[in-house]
Formats: sequence, structure tokens, C-alpha cells
Amino acid sequence: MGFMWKRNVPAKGRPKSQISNWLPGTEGVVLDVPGSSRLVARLRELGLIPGVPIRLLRTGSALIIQIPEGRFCLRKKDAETIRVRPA
Amino acid sequence: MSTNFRPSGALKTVALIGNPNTGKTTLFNALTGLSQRVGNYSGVTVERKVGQVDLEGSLKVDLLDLPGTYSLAANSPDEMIAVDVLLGQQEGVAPLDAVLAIVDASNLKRNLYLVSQLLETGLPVVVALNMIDVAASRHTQVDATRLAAKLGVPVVPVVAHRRQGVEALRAALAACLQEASNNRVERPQLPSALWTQAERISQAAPTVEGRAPLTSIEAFRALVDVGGHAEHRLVDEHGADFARLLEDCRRAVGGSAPLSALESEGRYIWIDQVVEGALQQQESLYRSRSDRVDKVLTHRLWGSLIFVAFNAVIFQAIYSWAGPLMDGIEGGFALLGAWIGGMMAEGALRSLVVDGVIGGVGGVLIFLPQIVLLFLFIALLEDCGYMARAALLMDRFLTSCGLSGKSFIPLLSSFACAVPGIMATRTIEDRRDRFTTIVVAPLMSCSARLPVYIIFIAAFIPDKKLLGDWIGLQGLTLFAMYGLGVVVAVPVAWLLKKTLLKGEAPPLLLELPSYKWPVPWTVGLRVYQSGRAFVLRAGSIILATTVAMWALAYFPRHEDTLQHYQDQRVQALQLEVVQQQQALERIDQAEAGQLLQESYLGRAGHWFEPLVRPLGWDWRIGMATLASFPAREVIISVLGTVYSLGGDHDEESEDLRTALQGATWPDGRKVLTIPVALSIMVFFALCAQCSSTLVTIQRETQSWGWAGFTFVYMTLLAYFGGWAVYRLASGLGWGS
Repeated sequence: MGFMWKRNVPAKGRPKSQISNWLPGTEGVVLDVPGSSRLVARLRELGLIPGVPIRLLRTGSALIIQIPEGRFCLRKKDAETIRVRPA
Repeated sequence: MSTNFRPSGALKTVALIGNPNTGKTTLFNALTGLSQRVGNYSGVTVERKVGQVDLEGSLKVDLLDLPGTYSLAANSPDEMIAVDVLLGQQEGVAPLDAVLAIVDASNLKRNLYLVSQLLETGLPVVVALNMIDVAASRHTQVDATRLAAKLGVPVVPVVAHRRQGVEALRAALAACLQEASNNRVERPQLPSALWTQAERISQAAPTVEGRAPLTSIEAFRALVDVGGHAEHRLVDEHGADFARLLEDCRRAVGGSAPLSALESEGRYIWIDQVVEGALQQQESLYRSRSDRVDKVLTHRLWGSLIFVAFNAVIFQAIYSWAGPLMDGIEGGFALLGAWIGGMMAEGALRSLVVDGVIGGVGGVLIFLPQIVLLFLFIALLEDCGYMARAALLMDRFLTSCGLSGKSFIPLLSSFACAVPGIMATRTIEDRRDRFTTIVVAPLMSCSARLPVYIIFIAAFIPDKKLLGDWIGLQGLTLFAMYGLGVVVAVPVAWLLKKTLLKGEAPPLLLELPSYKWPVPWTVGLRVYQSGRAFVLRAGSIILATTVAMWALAYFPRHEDTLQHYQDQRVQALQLEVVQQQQALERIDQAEAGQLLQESYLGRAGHWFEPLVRPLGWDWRIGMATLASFPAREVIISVLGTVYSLGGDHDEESEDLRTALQGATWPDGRKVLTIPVALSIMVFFALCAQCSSTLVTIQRETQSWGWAGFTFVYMTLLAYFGGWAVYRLASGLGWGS
């Protein structure tokens, strides 16, 4: 069960336009949610649209993000499609 | 609550719809009370809950509880049902007269997304604005009057869990149904090209007999949701020509943005206009107490440890706390058996009642407290919002078996019962993931296996303490049986995802609702419904199987045998008084044993015995196991009946545990030793002995193939697992 102790601390210098490189507690703004997959379409329906504020609550293989319309859990890989800008 | 008073034609149908986690079930319970009935939609196992709502005057309404959905763009089978009912495409459901939309005031804008789509269906809409208390605690105020004016439909503020505003909601619904006209102010301004192309699709689609003509809403969904539910269904119905038309129309919309982005953008612009002046919010990213709780509960280390601790508490509660209650019920049945036995004349009927019904089915019913406790814990965890967090924690582990966190709740529910567990898979969007989850769900140790484990553990596993007084060997054995299903499910799921259901791990998206205190009424109703189902099951399928097995074990009762022992009794009467008593007891036992041997069951059992000998079983265990294929609890009742009829245990201890301990082979060796008990438990842990589960799998996958596959692989695993553990334990010399 060693995976539970593995920390995913974001390394310095990685692009901050990907939310997976943020530290927990960081806030910013959603710039774009590109793509036409079912997941991306659903994220937009849930209110993850350009211009809304966003906060990262948990890092790891499964992220927790907060937007004004709620808190959602996404895998790191899927969250990387969202383009963001830290505040 | 009787449905007999329906004035014909006066009944209207209203659907209750809303996002998940909006308190929809609580509102449904508040509106319908105990009048709700649970059934299935024809052709699919999605639970269909209907209840009656009495409105002002004599107006009665059938309220349909639709599965939670964020949007009419359906992804999961659950959402597809909601959309089909709404658009009048679901077989067996009357066209709706109105829609009751429940929205969460604390996430108002996201909830209005679905409302904006509902308004376009043309159905009268009433909005129930729930969770105004939660919103207020976050300094969010919603002005219902202004919102109603902006939306052009009634908006009623409610606090469903305190039943506030429910009367006003009834009145609004009644008014809406009587007027049957909604004057809407403004529709979302979506790019006109989308509607033009949707119109083109609905015009061009050929009409299919027995189907309502294609509505513009459905055509719109087919156009916008690339690879979605509406597209799949219409292409299936109308063929490749329709697929080409769809492509053509999508190109004709033009622009570079995906069509779904055009839709969501347009709707959120409209939503911003609607809430302007009606919604006051202090901060957009509210920091709640839930976040602080989540810091611990979703923590990589602490969260996982707490998850394990939760399981340990549930486990402990089921094993220890239920004990006194069970003893009470068990004592009650023993008294009942003695009382009825004393009143009835000796013969087949008394044997049927005492050995078959009370000794058999009663033995299953004593497990009611444990089943109620298990369902209570699961209902509590679900209602407070913890399940989504547990799914998040388990995602990594489940991904390694080729599944995702979405499979967690169905699999956890399967520890109570695989039937609701399998039905809960309808929230999984990906078909391959869903089918894999369905096929491994019956491996989770359900509550029906619990009686089997407990009786064999109590009878054969020594009550030893390990590691000081912390862990009991009996508790550890029970834990191992529960663990076994999980351990076996991992390679099975992994193999399936590599072979028959090969595919990439689909993305994960879970909403994490704020934690809340469980609503006693909601939890109580869930527990009551599942407890009731267990008792009904004991009274139907288990009773029927047990009575059939009793008959096979009781008849034919050869005259010769009866005469032979009668002669012996006459001889015994010549003996002195002291020896007489013992001799008569010996004769009774020998007679019962021989009658059982000669019974239909006994003869079939001897033919069957070679098959189960490798597992260390005698013919009685073999036949009881065979009889348990319709429902696994049957083994308890059949063993109870067989040992009660066989009479090879002493008269004073009537309970099954002692009977099992006393059972012997013809040569006098004990049948049941630790290796045999372990082999039975492992067999039951892995075997697919539940007809309801197999029928549910068939309905859910729309194929007998998957039900057959599940049955075969589990039965083979069970047989070889039972054999292996018997050989291993015998080799280690346990219990000898």
C-alpha cells in the first residue's frame, strides 16, 4: 500500500497554466476548457467555464477542485486539459 | 393510502427531477409519505419510484422520482432514463402533465442549467428551491419572487428535511396543473443555427410506427451531444442515412467551437441574466466546514486509515452488537417450536411446522438484526455525503484493477446485497466498466452469507484471543471471509478488462457534496424497506425451498422400516425401567437416521456425495448446498430441517450449532471439522447462489450471457476454492 504515502508535490518551474502544478489552496481563474469529449462537455455544464474563479483543494492522483458551483473530483490526467491562471 | 379512490381520468402524472445531491429523495418522501411504490421501468432495472400526492380538492397526482441528472445531455443509463421519461420516450410511462424541478439554492446557477433545458420542453414547470437554509449559512440569499418573475414559472422556497414549504409547493403544483399554462418570459439565447439545424433534423427524420414523432428537443440533443445517448438511439432506429444527415447538420452550424460549448456558454449567459437581482452571494469560492473535514477525510494517509476504521466499526457492530437481539429472536423461535409441537399431534403436519418452517425459516430470520444494522450503516454513510470521498480514496486502487472510483458505491452496496449494488452501477457511464463491476459485484460478501459464516464460525472456530485480548480468532476468520471476495474480485476484474471488456480507463468526475447530518426519515425508510425485503424473502423463496427440501427429506417413510422399529420398541418395553428409557431413545434416533437415509433426499444425496467428497462434505451438506442455489440462506434452514429430522443429536439442545458439532459419518468420525467448516465458508463466499442476482444481471446487461458467465465462473471458483482450503487446512492438521 506504499502508494498512499507517495507525495505529489509540484516541482518548481512547471507551467502554472495546469492546475495539477498548483499547491493546495491556490486560487485562480479558468481561462479555457477546450475539447469536445463527453467529460469536457459535462465540466462546462457544471459551470467550469472561462472566467470563473477556481481553487485547488487536494492534489494527488485525484484532485479536488472548487468552483462557485461546487466541489468536484477529477483525475490529474483529466484536469490537465483545463487551462487556468493562478491569481 | 389506498389507490382505489382514484376518480378515473382525474389522475395526473408529474415528474420530480433535479441534480444529484439536491435533497430530491427527501422532498419525494415529504410529498408522498408511505404511499410510494418501487418498481422497474420496463426493459431496464432502473428503479422506478412512484408515490401519490394529494393536492387541494380531489386532485391526486402520481409523482415520479427520476434519477438525478445535471443536464439533458445524458451520459449514464440513469440519466438516459430521466431524459426518456421527460421526453415521453419511455415505454409504460404516461406523458407528463408537469415537471417539478428541485434546485439547490446553495449552487443555484449550476442547478438552473437543467431548469433552462426543462423550460424548452414546453411542459409546465414548478421549481422547488431547496436548501435555502444551507445557502443562508453561506451568506447566500435567493429572492424566490424575483427568480419566479425572471423564469416565468412558480418558485417555492422549501427546506425539505424539515418539511418547510411543502404545503406551499402542493398549492403551487395544483395551481400549475389547473391552469396548465405557463407564461415564460425569456428563453436562453442559444445560437440560432443550433435550433435551425435541430429543426432540420426533426423534419427529415422518417417517422417510425409506434413512436412519437421526433421532437425538436431530442433532435437538438442528437445534434449537440456528439456520441451521446440521443445520437446512438436515433442512428440505431433510422440507420446510416441519419448518421450522415447528423454530420451534415453539425457542419452546417459552422464556427470552430464545439457545439456543446456553444450550448453551455449560451445557457450560462442566460442564467447570469436570470439570477441578476435575485441572487446575492458574498464570496464565490465559499470556504465551508466541509473543506476542513475533507482535509482529514480525503488525506492520503489519515483518510485511508479512517476509511479502514469505519469498516472496522461496522464489522464489529454487526458481529458483536447484534448478538443479544439475535439471542432474543432465537429464544422466541425455540419457545414457539416447543409450544406448537406440544399442541399438535405427531405426524407429517407437525414435522412440517416444527422441523420445516420454524426450525428452517426461523433459523434465517434470527439474522434480521444484523441485516438491519448493515443497511443502517450504509444508509448513514450515503446520506451524510461520505460515499463520494470514499470513492475518491478508492479510485487509485480501483484503477489498478481496470475500474474507477465510480465502481466503489455499487461494490460497497453489494456487501449488503448484490441486487441494489448491481442496480447502482447505472451511474457508471462507461459500458465496459459497468459490466465488469456487475460481474464482480456478487463476489462481495452480501448479508445473506453472514448467517452462514456466523453459524460455522461459532460452531467450529475456537474462541481464542490473539495479540493479547485485541483480536479474536473468530472475528479474524469472519474478516478473512469478507476479505476473500475482495481479493478474488481484483484479478477477475483485471482479467475482464484485459480480455472480454477491454478498454481504456474512462475519466472520473465526482461531485463532492457538502457534508450534512443524515435525515432520520430518509435513513429510516431505507432501513425499513430493506428489512422488509429480507423478511419477505424468508417468507417466500426461502420458505418454499425449505418446505420442498423438508418433503424430500421426510418422505417416503417405508412401512417396513417403521414396523421394524416398532417391533424393537415392543421388545424394549420388556426391559427394566432404567434401561428402558435409554433403549427407547436409541431406537428413536436410529429410526430417524434410517428414515432420512431412505428418503428421496437421502438417496439423491448418496448419488451426489462423490462430487462433494473432495471438499470434505457429507451428503447432507452437499444436498443443503445444492438446495441453496436459489438463495444461499437456504443452507441454514435446510441443515436445520435435515438435522432436526435426522435426530442424531441429543434431544436437549435443539439449536443447529450443536447439531452440526454432533454430526458423524457412518463410522462414527465427526463430519464437521475445522477444514470442512472452512471449505463450506469459502465455497459460500465465492459461489453465485442467488437467483435474484442472476435475474438482475440479465436485466441490467440485457443478456443471459453475462448472467450465465457470472454463474459459471463463480461456481467453479467456489468449488476449487473450497477444495483448496480443505486440503490446505487438513494438511496443516487444523482441528484434528
